[in-house]
Amino acid sequence: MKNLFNHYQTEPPFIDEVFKTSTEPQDLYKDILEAFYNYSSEDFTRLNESAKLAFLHEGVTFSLYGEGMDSVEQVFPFDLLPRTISAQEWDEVSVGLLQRNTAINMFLEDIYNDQKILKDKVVPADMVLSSPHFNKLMQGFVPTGGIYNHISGTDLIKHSDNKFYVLEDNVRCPSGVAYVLSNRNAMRKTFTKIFKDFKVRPVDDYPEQLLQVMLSVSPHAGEGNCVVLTPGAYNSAFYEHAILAHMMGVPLVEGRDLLVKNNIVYMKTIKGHVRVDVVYRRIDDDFIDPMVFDPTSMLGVPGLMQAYREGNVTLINAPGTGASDDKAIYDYIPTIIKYYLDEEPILNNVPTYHCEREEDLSYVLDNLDKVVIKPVDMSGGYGIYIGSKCSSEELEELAKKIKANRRGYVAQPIMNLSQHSTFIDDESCFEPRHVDLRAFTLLGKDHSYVLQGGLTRVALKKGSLIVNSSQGGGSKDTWIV
Amino acid sequence: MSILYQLEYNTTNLYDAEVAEGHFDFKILPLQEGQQKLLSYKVKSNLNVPYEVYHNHQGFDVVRVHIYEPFQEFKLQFNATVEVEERNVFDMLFKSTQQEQAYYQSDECRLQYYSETLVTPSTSIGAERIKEFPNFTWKQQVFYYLEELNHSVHDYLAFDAQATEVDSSLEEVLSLKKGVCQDYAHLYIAIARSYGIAVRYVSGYLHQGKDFKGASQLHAWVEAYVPYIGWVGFDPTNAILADHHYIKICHGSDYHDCSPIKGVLRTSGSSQTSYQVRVETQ
Repeated sequence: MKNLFNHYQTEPPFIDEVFKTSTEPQDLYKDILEAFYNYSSEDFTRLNESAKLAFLHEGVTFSLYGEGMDSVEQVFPFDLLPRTISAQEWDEVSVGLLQRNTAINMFLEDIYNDQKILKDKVVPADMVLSSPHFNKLMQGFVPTGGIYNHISGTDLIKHSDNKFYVLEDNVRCPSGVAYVLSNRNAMRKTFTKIFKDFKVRPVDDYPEQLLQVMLSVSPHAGEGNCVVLTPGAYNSAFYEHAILAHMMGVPLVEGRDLLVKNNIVYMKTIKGHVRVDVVYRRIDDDFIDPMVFDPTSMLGVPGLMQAYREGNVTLINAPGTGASDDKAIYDYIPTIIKYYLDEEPILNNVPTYHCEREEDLSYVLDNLDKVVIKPVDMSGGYGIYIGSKCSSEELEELAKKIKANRRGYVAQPIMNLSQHSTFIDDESCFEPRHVDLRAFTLLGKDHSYVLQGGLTRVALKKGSLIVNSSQGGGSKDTWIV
Repeated sequence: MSILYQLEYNTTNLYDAEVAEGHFDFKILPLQEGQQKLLSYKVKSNLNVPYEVYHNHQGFDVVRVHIYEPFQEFKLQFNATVEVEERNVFDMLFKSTQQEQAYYQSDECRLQYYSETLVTPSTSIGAERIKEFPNFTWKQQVFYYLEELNHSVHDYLAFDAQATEVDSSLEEVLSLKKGVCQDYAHLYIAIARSYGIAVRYVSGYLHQGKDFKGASQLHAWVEAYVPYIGWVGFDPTNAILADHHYIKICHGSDYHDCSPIKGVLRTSGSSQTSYQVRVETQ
């Protein structure tokens, strides 16, 4: 055992994906680790620094938002030891992802049209119709191609039973895929040789696949002009908007670059107005069209929603998809899969307690220190409480908050996120850290795709279970071999 | 018998600074529905910009104007001829109170009228306030309760065009005990919805021939769902049922679904908006 792993300690009951015991690697990692054993601590630190610098130069950054603070642009910390999943295990997960996201798409079409699932009382009507993300403007209309969640980001974790669980669904323009592409790029540059020896499944086809999905739902079957609509350079994910537009070879536009006339969307160019058919919008629902949503925001395009409802332009993802990835709906996804597809769900769900149910509320209040409390409406890891890490005063506060807004909170048992060896700068060696995986699924008309791997996110703080970049997380390249 | 109405809607919008780009939606077109027929209409603006009419997600026609040239003044005039059949609004035959209750509490009804029973921020008041108005139980015929409520809301508020603003909360209205048609309608909606009765906000024109309040402006009233009858219009501002003097434009959860003018502008300065309405019979 060499330098970088000299003091490595696995931390049962958590699964360590790299090591069976503190000294014996998992079979899948034996060959990869050989390459890492060759480095001294100093050499590896140097290698790590140069990889970081490359990210900074490429502009692979994100911004942190805090209360009362200005946003700070940061390099997204990247770890050089790839997370590796066997092709066999991944293929099963892929089928599960397609199944789950297909069912979510059917659910969205249903709740905005016939509402069969609500009439059959399979999902409570109140829960869906009272959701702040239920968008009245989507009622009585099916987008071109019948797709709502063209892009889905499914957050998976590996529990101590060695099974993948879905932690949450993200179908409102999920972010993160640009990091997958950049991480792969960085790995290929840094470890050219290792890369040649392993048959890692490619991820570079993502932009091409996304473009195909966009074209498949164009009002002009299979062809048309696509754009990426960004809120601008100050957005935390601007890098991603720019890189995806660049890699797809389509224009990156802001709201002011587009205009609507007679319910047709045009892009202003030096050669005049050019019709736009598909808009991959990275602007939240509430801001895409000030005529029907927030009138004070000029980020969007006045008239865009009506052009969309008339079928003259397709929006990716559809507005109102938030009604299906709400944390309160999450618990019903296995039921939703059975209802529409008549299949058993392939991916596991974490049991969820809804504080608005009487018996669930009393369980949650009695076991606050044993559960994770999540606000229904927030994403990005904001507002999450891990019961076991709260003081008794904090728990009391929390109980009050929950009782005052019961629909606003759900609770889940604390899941044992698996761990992965991660290089820790301050220690100049590898230590176990908790990881999750954001998988990306694309759905188009007669076209579907699962990105091979996805974004492995690492909670860099020792012992932390929260992996979101906004909460001090890093990432790893994910290899399917 | 039917009545032929000539409607005119005029708006003037003045801006301190030049507006680089402006977008307006006007909910001013009378609805083609039931006893009401829109025979013809005309839209004119001082800027000579084209207008579009689109069918919005709630099923109403909206006049939309996109202005991509700089301007400082925008005027729009709308004229329409509408034919309304006279009707006896009391011509209804009710079912038993048990049947009414059963219908209202059926899943079918709950799903269909979900958004008409959902309290919105503009139609929300405290439980204590609700007690100041007539109480509803299913032992009573829905229609008669709604009529009682119509009088009760009318008597509670004094009409005062200056007392409230377009975004005044119901709590403010209740403490002032003054308001305009929009406030009467919101108050009515808040109370009816607290008992699970489906009720919606209606915007439209009111015939000026009679001395009704709110006549030189667009008017607001409500429609409540009476089982086995359908939507019935109540005007709490004038304590009567909406009849052939009422010309409906659209309905929604509250004022925000129905505001007659909505503008989105690229400008830095402030603005003054005014409008007048005329309703005449031929």
